[in-house]
Amino acid sequence: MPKLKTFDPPANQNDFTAAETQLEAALRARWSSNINMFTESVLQNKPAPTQYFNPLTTDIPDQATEAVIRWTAFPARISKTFSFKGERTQWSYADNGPPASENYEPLGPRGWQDEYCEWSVTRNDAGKITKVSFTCENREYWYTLWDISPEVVLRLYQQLVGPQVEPQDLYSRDEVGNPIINAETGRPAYNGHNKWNSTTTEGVVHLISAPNALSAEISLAGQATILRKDSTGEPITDPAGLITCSNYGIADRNSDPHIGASVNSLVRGSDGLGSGMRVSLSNPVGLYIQTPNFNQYSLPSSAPAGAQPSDCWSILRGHARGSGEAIDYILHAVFEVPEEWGFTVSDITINGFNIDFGAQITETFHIALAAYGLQPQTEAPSELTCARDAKPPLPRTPCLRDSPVLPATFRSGLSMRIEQGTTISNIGLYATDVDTNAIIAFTGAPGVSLEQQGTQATDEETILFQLTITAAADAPLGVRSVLLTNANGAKGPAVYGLLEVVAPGTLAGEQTEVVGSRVEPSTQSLGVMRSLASPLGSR
Amino acid sequence: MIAYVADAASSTCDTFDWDPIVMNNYGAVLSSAIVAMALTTTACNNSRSDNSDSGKRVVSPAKAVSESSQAPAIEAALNSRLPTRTATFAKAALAAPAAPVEACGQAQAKRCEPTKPGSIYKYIAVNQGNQPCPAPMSETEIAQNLNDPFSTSLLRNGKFPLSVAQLTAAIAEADPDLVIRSYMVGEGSQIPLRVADRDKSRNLRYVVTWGPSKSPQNVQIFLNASAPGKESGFLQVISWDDQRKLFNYFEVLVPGESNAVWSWAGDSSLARAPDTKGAGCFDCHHNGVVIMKELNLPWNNWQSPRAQIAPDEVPKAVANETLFQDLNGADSYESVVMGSAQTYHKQWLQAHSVGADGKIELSAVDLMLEHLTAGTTINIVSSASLSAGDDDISDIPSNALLWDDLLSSSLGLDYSIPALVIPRASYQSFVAEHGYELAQRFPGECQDCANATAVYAIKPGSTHFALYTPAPSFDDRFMITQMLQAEIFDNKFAAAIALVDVGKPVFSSTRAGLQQYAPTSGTIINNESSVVKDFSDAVRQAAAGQRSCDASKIDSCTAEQQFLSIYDAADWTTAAQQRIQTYLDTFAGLSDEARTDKLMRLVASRQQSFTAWPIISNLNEFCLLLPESDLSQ
Repeated sequence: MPKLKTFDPPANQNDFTAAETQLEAALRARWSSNINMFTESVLQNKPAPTQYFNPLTTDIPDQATEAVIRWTAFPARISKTFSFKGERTQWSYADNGPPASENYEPLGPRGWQDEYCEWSVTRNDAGKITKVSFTCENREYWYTLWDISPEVVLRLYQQLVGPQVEPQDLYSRDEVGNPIINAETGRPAYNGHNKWNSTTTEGVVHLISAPNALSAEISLAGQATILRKDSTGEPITDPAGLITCSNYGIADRNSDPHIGASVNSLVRGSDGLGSGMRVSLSNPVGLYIQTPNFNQYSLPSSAPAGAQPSDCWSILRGHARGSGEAIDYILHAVFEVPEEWGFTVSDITINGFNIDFGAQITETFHIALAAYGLQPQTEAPSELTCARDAKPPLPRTPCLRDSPVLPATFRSGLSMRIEQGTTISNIGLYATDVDTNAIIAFTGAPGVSLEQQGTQATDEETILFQLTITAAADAPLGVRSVLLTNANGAKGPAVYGLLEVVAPGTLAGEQTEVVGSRVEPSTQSLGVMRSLASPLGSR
Repeated sequence: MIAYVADAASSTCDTFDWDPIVMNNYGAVLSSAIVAMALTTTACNNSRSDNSDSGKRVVSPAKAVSESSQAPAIEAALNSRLPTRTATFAKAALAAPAAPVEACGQAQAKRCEPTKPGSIYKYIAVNQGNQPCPAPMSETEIAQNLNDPFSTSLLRNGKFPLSVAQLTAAIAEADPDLVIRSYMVGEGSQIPLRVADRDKSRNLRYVVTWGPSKSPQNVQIFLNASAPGKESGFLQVISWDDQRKLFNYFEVLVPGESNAVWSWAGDSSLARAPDTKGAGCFDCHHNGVVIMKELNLPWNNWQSPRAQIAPDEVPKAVANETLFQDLNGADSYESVVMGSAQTYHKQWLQAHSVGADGKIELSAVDLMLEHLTAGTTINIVSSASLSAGDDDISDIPSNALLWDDLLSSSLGLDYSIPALVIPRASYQSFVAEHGYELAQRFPGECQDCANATAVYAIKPGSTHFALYTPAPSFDDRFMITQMLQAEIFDNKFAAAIALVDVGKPVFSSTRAGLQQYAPTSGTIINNESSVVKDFSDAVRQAAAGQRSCDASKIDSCTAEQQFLSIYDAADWTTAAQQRIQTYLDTFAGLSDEARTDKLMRLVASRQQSFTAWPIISNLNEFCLLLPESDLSQ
């Protein structure tokens, strides 16, 4: 197979009607650009993951290995942290979150559902479950889709949650309730934490838990391709040891250690360094719900003849595996008893227990991803010792955007765009381990300059810079990286793709001299950022 | 590894013997010296050939075996004993007529006709008396018993694959829709290369499954095979018969020989039958269902999301085969095992609870209640923290302390388990002080692990995940919840039994003693079960003749008294919860060292009980399964 032409949307899902082909094309182009940005930002990190590749720039033969990596959807850290509480309490915590007094992280709505699967439970007046909705859709896709067409997003919300969803329910708002306008589109910015997608009872559309980011997934996979050894030279291959050594996730999850160790094993090979594979996440890049094992389920005796538990499982978005496919590409599914059967989900048992919690269902299915494996490796990998904090610390930015939209960008991971020949002020750049007088530079191509307007420390380790950015009329189109250099010389690496220079007329909003939005930069943005559990791109 | 079988003819140690037929099967790797060595170690008396300190297990450095020129051959031979039996169950029965069979120093007269390829044989082991001879099955027997996919697709069509590769190809040809999945387990699978090179035996074996493409986890055929698997002739198959709603068991007799044949080893209905219980396949498959000892996270010994079996730590032949490269995780297999087991358990209960019009006739009630009293099998739980890790051990498996998932999740009892932590320093100190090690040993005939030289060992060391503890099984808990839902007994009754000897959720001879009161039959009339009344009346009658006990020291009371203290309580729920909480409170408020000592000794004690408990101890198949220490005696 030649180089991949574009990255496809997750599950190759097409959310557009026949009359919306232009929007579909725009979404596909933008989505491919986003995945490319996430991939290149991994490849340009240091140390460079030499065994990770970009499918857009690498030939992939038809006989390339496709590795499948699966993990149980139930949040393993709940079991570990509350092992002494018993399984019913663990199920309850997985559904509703541990008590606030536990200060359990990740914080935020559905934060604790951190295995790339989140769900919402609907109950009747008697407290019995009537429906459980599951999603593994990444938020980056929905933010991208909103940029292309908020109408399509609304339509999907109304399908997934109900007709009661209104457009204004989905807007980002400032502290006085006004919609925050995205200068790039001229429309209200999207709020992924809206009331229809931020609870465990009112519906679920896409992932919102901070570590459940697709960009973090790609980053994890890339970092996991780096082989590690301990201080005695012994290879580190066990999942817990690797994740601690490479610092690409949280050790006690089902997902991170397993994904990392599986990828690492592919790279290491079975016959010495150089015998393994180069790896990249398969197209369409995403994480997918797998069909549950219904052998563990039992229907009540009142179920109609021939009824099966699998009859209660419906795929709303994505699809079950087709011929030749190794995994199901399910994005959104529900478990709900057909009304005519006359009983509820709670009357069904799993392993002998009535389904009193949605979490019980998550114990019976996997989340999966697929990865390409290419042989031979173009160069034999070396083994590195464990990652450690740089001394002095290296400044880094995960996020650049016009200030009012910065919090949303923190969640979406999408790059900022600027048209040639324009200047935008009131841009926020959020950075860590950085001096207030750090030098900020755009790299990768010329034609983009900036002025610092001010700084604000958000906490001991992070600073928000206020910038004005200008793209020259002849600035080459394409992405720019952002490089920060502290006064002591500590710098980089440059973070790829935070800014994209586009042609005039590409963006719908006012671009000639844009002042962010109607809302002046305030502590509101910073307050939102403080509440976020983890920086963009990390698990 | 010693395979145990209940065989009255070899009563001294009930072991298989290295007979010439077995050795000749692997003649390519055996030397006469090995044959001589094996034949001399037939005595079951514990002749301790190694120096040992008092109170310690044999800990001499790996010697003799690995250093001799015989070592590679021995390892290869012993690896070929896998998956879990030394050879077929019938091998003793198939001894050459001219050669007497020795088993632990006792001659056994076992003479059977050699098998002839081309037929499906039957060999169902019994738990006492002489074993039967393998014999070809009649057409009637075949029609009645062999309706599972393995039989209907292969055996009954005259297809007798005699290696994993042949079996895989045959199934693919017979039913292309079936999806193959492989899993791997090995007690030495996490032994690092600095301790044992990749070619050292780690007791690796595969479980291979076949299920329909639309639901691969609805497994129809299970295969147990050694690793590397491709050309292995050591084949054991379990296949689900959807007509009879049970599992059929199969094995190849005299594998590797020209007269190797497939043999039916019985079905699930024999697992708990008086003559076959604990014999043959059912010495491990205690309920007649597929088993997985380490059923839950972190699945110690299995390829899993928590522990990868690294390709450069297994023999190249293993690393290079598709079965290994396409391994699935134990988390998937857990789901398969639980799903397939409960399918059988549900139909078993239905078959023994028959009735209509408000009256249900119950049969095999004694077998039902055994799930509560003695337990029919075990699973093994552990912490998700590594024994060799750095973090404190904070996830003490609750089922190691008491039957938590039954008492809390099934019976709804409310109590509080203290948030126990074993500090890493305390753990390491305890392990060092008591000489913990995890050793690979190959016991000869009639030897146990304690008397076998270590080929390699991690010392100090223990199982990969800490606190590896035999605990109540999924099967027992599932059956109890099913019986509760069927109203065969109620929560009070279940709690009253389960709370006898509350601190021993498994291996309680006190609680097991209540089994004598289990009726063999019963009725449920208008939702009222006779089982509860019959049992409790019998217990009360027995208790009436016992010396009264101090209720404040309930653990020293008889099983009958403990049962009645809950069953007859005015508020049984409160009484039960208080009993549990009193027990759990003994773990609270301790110093780090005292708590560590208490928990570690509990685990060690449970492991030792496991090695001695009738039939269930058959699951203790390899020396690498359990750590050794001065607490192991």
